[in-house]
Amino acid sequence: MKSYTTSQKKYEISHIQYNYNFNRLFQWSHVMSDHQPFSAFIETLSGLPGGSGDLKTGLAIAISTLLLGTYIMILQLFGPYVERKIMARQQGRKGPYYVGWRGILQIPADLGKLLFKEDTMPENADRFGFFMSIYLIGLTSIMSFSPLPFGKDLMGGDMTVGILYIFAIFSIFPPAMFIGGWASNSKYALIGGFRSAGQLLAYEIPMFLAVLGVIGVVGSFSLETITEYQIQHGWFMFRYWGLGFVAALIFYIAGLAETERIPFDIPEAEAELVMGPRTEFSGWRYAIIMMAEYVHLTVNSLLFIYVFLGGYDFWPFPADMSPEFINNLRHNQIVQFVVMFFKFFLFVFLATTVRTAFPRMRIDQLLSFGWKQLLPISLAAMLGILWLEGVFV
Amino acid sequence: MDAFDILFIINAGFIVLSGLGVVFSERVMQSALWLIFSLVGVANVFLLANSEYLWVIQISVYGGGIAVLLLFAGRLTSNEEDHFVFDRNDFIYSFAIVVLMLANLLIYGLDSLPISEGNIYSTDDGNLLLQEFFQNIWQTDQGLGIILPFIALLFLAALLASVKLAIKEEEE
Repeated sequence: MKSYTTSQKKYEISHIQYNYNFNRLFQWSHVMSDHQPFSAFIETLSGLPGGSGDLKTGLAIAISTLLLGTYIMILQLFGPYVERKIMARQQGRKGPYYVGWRGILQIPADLGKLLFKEDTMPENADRFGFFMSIYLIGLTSIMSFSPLPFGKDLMGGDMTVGILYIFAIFSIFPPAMFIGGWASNSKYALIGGFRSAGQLLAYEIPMFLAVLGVIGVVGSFSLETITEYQIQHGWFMFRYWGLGFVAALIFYIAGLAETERIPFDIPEAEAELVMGPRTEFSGWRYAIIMMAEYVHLTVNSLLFIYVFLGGYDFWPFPADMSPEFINNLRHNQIVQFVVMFFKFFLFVFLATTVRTAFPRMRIDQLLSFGWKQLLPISLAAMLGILWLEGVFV
Repeated sequence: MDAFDILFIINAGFIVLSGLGVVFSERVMQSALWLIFSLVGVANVFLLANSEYLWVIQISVYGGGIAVLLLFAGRLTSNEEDHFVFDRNDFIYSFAIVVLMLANLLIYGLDSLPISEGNIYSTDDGNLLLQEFFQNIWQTDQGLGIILPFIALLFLAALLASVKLAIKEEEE
């Protein structure tokens, strides 16, 4: 209870306090609070003699953010390994086995190979577009980590626009992919780029509408505030007489389409388009594109967890219906961190199972499914959630 | 001059450079890419003015949605494969006219602002300054202000240009 009020207070401060000092440069200055694991480190570094205090604080915050970012990068590096292993088990194979213990170093080894490969570019490719699209794709995917909390206060930056920020950053992806496809000077890549942009546009809207109900109920875009609300009132997926579940399902389906994974991997349908917009990219460019895809999977899974599955919370019931020791455990940061770890790999498992179980859709089926079915249902679910919450009364 | 001023100047330079990139790229798709950069740069100005919400909306609507729209339009309407080049002379003239008009508008709006010395983007309160800027553009002592004639002139220029393009197509 106590930490929730602290969060509320901090949230208000972040709204009201508009001072143009050096700290404002680092959006992450809200990260500094009593509960933050990095705060001891930040305070120690700020207290060192010499130099400007603001600069040292900024440096300390930058280092802690870097640590968190590295953790997420390593986490998503093992996404493909877990996926390949589970997929192999489901198909009666062994999967990666020889590099490291049970093949655990297979993905870093693949990455090393890709980085040292020759950097080739097709003849007559547009140099500027070929380079810039990769740059944009890599940059935007890493930028999307910022507002994801891995425990209370354990995040890059508690922005007031949290979830909108992720949607905005991801909306740069379709034009970048499209330009990458065009710049490769290949028919496969161009058609793949068209499909990719059309698909991403079609599924962004139901995805956002599915979240909008939750945002309206909580009254905040911040993922941390949404999670804290769920600790108090129960997970959104199991509330509102099934409407929460409907919204969650739509969000998950649209998320799969946004990440271009198997039932929706039409842009890179191997049989027709080789690799879609990625066809001509090899070496480090391919590594960046693959990284961006798995970052999308990671961030979409994490968004689902934060919005519908209680975020770093492990107990789906409201605080006033739960025993006291469980409530205490819920506010323990180490427990929250571990819970996030397991929830993330649960979602990798889910995505892999979907990948092995479902066939690919056709492009027209996909687009009409998105626009004609998911969109109205998500709108209805959003209005229903808001109505049940009593917003319209 | 503090860190924000430096950031603002870097960002402004970025916007101007990418704007030039839009104009001077030979290929339509390259122009569109530069346009995305320029629009994202404009979004960063909102961030510097403490409007995170506008920043995010600008990126998702203009950097994402409008950019895809433009890219599709560029790809689907060009009849020559990859070699759609602007008629440079006409383009430069119309561009110069639009730039002059925009500069006029900007100077008019900025002229009557109470900007304190040594601070290029705000007085004590950034929001107030922006508000005053738009008020200056929208309404003056005489009545409707400068924005209406500006838009009228812009549309007139667009109309004339489209008439010229249509005549050219008929000649071909």
